[in-house]
Amino acid sequence: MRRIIVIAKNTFKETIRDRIMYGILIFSLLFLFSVTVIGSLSLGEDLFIIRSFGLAGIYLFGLIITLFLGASLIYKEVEFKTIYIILSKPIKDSEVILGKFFGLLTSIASTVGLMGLIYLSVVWFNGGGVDYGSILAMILQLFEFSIIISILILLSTFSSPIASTIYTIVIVYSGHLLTLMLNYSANLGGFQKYIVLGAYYLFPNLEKFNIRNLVVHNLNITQTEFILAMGYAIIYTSLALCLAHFVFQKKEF
Amino acid sequence: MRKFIIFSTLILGVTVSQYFFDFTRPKYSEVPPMLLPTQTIKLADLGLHSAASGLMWIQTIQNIFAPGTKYYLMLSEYLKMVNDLDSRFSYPYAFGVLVLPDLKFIDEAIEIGERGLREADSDWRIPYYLATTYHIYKHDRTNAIKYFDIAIRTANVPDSVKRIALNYGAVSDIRQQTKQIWISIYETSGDEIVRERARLYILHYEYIELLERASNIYKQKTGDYPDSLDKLVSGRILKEIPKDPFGFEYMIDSRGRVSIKIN
Repeated sequence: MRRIIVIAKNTFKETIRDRIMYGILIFSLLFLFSVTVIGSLSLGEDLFIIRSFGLAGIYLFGLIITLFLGASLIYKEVEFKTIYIILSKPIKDSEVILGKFFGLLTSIASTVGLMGLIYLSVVWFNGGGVDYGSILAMILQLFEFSIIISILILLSTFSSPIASTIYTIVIVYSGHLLTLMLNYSANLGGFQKYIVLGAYYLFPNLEKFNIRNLVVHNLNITQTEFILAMGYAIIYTSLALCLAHFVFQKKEF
Repeated sequence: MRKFIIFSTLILGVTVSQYFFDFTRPKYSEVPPMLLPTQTIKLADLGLHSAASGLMWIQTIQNIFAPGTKYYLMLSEYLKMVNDLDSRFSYPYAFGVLVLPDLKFIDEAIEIGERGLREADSDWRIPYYLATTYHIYKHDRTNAIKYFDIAIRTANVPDSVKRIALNYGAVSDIRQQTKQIWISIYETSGDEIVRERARLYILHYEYIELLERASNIYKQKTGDYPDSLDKLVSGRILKEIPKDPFGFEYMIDSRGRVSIKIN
């Protein structure tokens, strides 16, 4: 456990020092401040625009940061041969994977937290009070990101950062369109239906973490939905990390 | 110092070149606001439908009334796109009901408003504007009364709107007709809530009638209408001023007409 924490700390420091992340983060904060101006163009629907654009911004910028930082996480260690130094010490492969995962998740959580604070202040200054629903939306967003990070780690064990990024973008898009796939499968028959259904259950269903469209209308999901979404994220993340560990073990360093 | 001069010159250069570019640019015809199939937007927006709807709303209202263009003739289609992306976003419905009748799209406005009532977040503006559309453009008092009543019952409706809606149809020449509409609703509806609502309206119009009759008696006695309703009590015409069933105060004007106090 202690070794996982040490690797996680190092990963956190490494990612938090990344200049690309600062660039994106500054841009995202500027965007969050500017949503007030965008809101003022909406004929009195300022708060709706601020909340929907703000939450969309936090999601998209968080996703970009996750992709930039996550895609090269393991690949860089192998490419720069620093993995030899780590593995020459009494550290298990699984501890490296878990340390990397928790380190990156912590830095992503910090950036989302920072963006969230700015967003909540902007909403508050515009008369929206404390936006509890959006806090819940951001928590669920972090669970979604935990799945994305684990997939990135899995992909970065065997492919280049660019390829990992492209695969992950495809997976994220598919993950948000799976409900359409399920509807489509209802019109199919026989073997095709089972292939589509197989893909439906196998791909990460990310739409369950998207409550942004509800919270902007002051609607909330039930406690059961929230717990099921969290459980799904934990199980899916564990699956992707186990696969990453399996691939990592098979690699010859 | 040298760096400062270089940077200042370059920034000035950028500004001046942009200015001249705008100045010399030929006037192209305005590009119409985007009208994309909703399904396409939904496929591309990563589940951020509300934000996409907000974006489409802003681009619609910013461009639809561009001078020299006739994009506004497509307004109902743009509003449909915005609400297909987020059917709970209430203001586009209200905006459509308010603006479309003026552009001669009365039936489209009513259709948009009725969809808004079914699907949008609770917003008094939708039924209120529907009522005014029925009143002004369709001359349909029955539907106007129906939607004014829905507006009154909607959460967060301003008091001033409630008062105006309650005064609708209360002037003496059409009051009997308005009252008859509510009596028919009372007699035909099987829903207890609707019947109770109709009963309150009937009572509301009866109180107004009673107060106007009393003020006529006051005029016969004194030669003038009372300047306040309290004079009907002090003049021993009424024992007390009845309380409006919706909780507002009545007022009387110089011609003896009774209505809900607006302010």
